[in-house]
Amino acid sequence: MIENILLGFSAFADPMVPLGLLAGALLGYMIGAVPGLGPSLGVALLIPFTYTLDPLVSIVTLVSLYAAAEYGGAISAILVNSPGTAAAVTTSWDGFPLTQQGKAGVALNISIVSSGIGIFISTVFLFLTAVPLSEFALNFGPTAYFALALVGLSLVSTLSNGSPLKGGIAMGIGLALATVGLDAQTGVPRFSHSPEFFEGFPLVPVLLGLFALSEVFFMVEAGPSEKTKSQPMSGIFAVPLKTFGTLKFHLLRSSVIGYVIGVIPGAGASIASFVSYAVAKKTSKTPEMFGKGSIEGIAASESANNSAVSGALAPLLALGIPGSPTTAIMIGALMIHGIQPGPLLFATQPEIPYTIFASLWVSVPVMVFIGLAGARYWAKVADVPRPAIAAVVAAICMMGAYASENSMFPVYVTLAFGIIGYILRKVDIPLAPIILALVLGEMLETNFRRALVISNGEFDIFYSSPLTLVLLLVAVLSFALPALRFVRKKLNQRRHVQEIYHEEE
Amino acid sequence: MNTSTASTRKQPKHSDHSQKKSELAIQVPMVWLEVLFGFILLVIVGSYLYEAIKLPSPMNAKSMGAGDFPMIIAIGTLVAVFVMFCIGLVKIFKEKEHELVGFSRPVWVVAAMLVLVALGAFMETLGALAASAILVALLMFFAGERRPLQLITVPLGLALGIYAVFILALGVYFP
Repeated sequence: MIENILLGFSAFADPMVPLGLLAGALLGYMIGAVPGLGPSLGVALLIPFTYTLDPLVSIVTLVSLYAAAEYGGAISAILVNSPGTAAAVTTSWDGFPLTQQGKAGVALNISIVSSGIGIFISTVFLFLTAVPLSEFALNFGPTAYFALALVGLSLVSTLSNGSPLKGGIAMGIGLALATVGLDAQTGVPRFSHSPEFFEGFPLVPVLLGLFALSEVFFMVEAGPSEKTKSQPMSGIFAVPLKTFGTLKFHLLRSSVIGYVIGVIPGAGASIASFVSYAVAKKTSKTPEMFGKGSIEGIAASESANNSAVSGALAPLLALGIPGSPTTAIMIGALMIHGIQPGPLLFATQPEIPYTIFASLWVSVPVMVFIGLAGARYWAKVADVPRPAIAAVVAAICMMGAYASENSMFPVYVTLAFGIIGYILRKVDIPLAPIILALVLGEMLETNFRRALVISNGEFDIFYSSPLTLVLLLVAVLSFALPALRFVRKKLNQRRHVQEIYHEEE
Repeated sequence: MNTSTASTRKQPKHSDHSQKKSELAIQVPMVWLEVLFGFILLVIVGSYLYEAIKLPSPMNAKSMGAGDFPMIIAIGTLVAVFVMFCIGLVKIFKEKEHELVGFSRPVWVVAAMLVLVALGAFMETLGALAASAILVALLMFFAGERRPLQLITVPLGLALGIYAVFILALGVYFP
């Protein structure tokens, strides 16, 4: 194990690796600081720039961008009460009141250092859990893999937005898209009227379209951004170390909460920060300060949402199952470089997961330094006019799509999915299940069919193994429970109306 | 002590506000969108199911053919879309107040879509760098940028940036 950790750190001997980490951190801060752009969009936009890079450099750059974008989301949340990412909403509840009190620097310092502590602690958990999990997963058969993929998809679909029904529709759309192309087992072309579709939908152009280009249309819709005014930001380097001593239990607890929630597919950084904030408020000696500028609230929110980054990487690396849109995009980036995440990765290419662990640890001091030293510059990033951001994102999408295959086909795919993504978002259909289903669709189908070949067409193979049975039960419950809750709520409402009617009579 | 500056959003000036207000914005009830989108999706998933049924059967009767898994997906999705469609219809007739979805600046959004499609179609003829410069200028204009200096410098700067990064550094061949 020590050898493997050293292997991970040794990757930093190549100057391109620390350079990639630095570039990823800077870009991540910039993307995170701009409201509307987030880690998913940032990672998707960066992929085209990594095509020709070494796989290790690419993955370190992408991971550091992912982590830094979660850091950066807090900046605009604290300074302009406009969270750069959904996970930074709870940070704004206490961060912005501190800014109004003239303590923006204190809020930024607490958020940046708490983020770093969150990443550090959660990476220790990632290291301790991902390796045994991958060893355990080596025993999985096709039924367990099918059930695991189904659990991932179901949880993402039901947790990603308010309506499980719309999440289910999104999952269906993604799975249908995943079946386009030559059938892996029989070689029959499916839903492919043109040879360009024989290899299925190219993942990167679909990602660029759904996540980035659709956002461009929303920016056009929003029009020019409002002007901002500058105000003094003091105290960023004036937070004593003992402040973090008083926050140590909040930081540790929130990091654990963030990591555990991050591991659950679909839950992600925003749920982690909400849960952690609520727990911190409950356990605080000064709960009345929450929402009015509590540093405990900022520490809890930021350490949890950054811990969720490492949490989301655990199922990706150990099982090959992405648990969030950003990790689904990262799986696409890994595949471009011929890396297949999953249990075999630790045995065949240990340098990849261990370099990721090392880069997360190395990124902590780098990102804390960049965050503290450049706080005033990151604050300015939120001032970049929205029309310019929209145009730059659109141009990178088009050029990036072209560069993915050196042909026009991916450009057309990006354009089509950009418009589709805009429509889907208007109808409140979540995009994350579509991407996850597109990534996991082949795995789901292959293992389903393989299991039936083994069982000679008998479906009892799916309930003969306890592990598969439990996983399938979780998948069913993830759809059934919200539906039951919905029915119960409606029945209660009807009963309430009838009671009022009887009382009036 | 660091005394650098932070930015805080200021209320837009009255003239900007009134200009924004004067721009066309449409509000559509979400249920109408759900019903319309549900109907379109029913047609698309229905044709997907039809195509899946037409796929060849497996040689071995006990194994799954190329069309069996897509058929399962299609049936599941059809059920979900049908439920959404029906709920939408029930809400239209039963509920008086509906959640509204806003479409601000719809003309500019459609124009942006058309420009992107047109430049995608003519990218090979125009050349990638020229196409991206035109795209950036037009998109900035559609997104509300009216300052001439920005409309000239950002597209040129971006075209140069794309040339430096993609062509010189990454060695991508563009048309």
